[in-house]
Amino acid sequence: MEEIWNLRQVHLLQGLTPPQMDEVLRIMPVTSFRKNEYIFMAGDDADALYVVQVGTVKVAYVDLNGEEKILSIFQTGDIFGHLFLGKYRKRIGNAQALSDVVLCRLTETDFVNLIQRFPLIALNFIRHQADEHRESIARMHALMSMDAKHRLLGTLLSLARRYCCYESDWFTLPESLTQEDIANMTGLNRSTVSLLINELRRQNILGGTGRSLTVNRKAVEQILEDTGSEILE
Amino acid sequence: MTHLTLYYGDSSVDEPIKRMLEAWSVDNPDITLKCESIHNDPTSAVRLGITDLPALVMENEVIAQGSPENWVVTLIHRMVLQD
Repeated sequence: MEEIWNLRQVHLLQGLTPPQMDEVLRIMPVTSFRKNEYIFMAGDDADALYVVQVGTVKVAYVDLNGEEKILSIFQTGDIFGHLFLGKYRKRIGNAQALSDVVLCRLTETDFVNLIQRFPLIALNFIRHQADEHRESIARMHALMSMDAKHRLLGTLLSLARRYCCYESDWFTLPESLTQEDIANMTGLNRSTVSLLINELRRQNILGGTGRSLTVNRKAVEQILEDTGSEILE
Repeated sequence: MTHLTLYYGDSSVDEPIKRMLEAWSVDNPDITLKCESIHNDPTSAVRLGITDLPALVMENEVIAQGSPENWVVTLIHRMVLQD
């Protein structure tokens, strides 16, 4: 094979052989967006899901007060824009490139054809959906029942779980994710998030300086377990 | 002769590293540097396994990517020492 595509880290395609991945890629056109460009908008008719190959994407909506609420952040290997596969066919959030991004775009027809050709993709998709659902429940639990510090830690742990390399205790958040974004994800204001981050850095639970933010995953897990706030595991 | 390609995006950190590597390649005649916007060639980015920008590619292999402050000085030192 002339070209080995980098799909090993794409959740949807785990377990496929390199020739199978090659076949999959022939029907997944690649597209790119510049930083801050919108990939789709709330209210749009949805007709495709996306796989992130390079970069970071934010999906958010604007509430009646004009405040942005972030639904999720997606990075390399993640699938997004797939919620239209149920009965609701309109986009519920705006997808925006937080950095320059490269995406593979898969229409519903292509996705169905892929599943018929490779049933393993359906299993991967169900597993991915189950993880997403469980993480959403954990995030909802955190937002409803915890104080500000634990809500922040719960959100950071959720991000770390999704992207962290398990051989490392420390997880680095993408620099394109601002403290404002983290505040929007946790339902806190920006100054509270800033204060908490500084405090947690002093305690060596978080690290990094300026926009660089690292998370000591094991330390955060321990804190949340000790306070009974951890429901995911 | 070493052929390098820098894949870059529109991020503010990409332009300085592009200028720096271009200047460095001019001073090193054994290095040829091509700079390519990710938007002009997204398919190559996927094929090469680029997951973060900017990314430096040598002979179809990604040798460094992501925040340049983490790799550029080390990389240049290593390549100069190898020469």
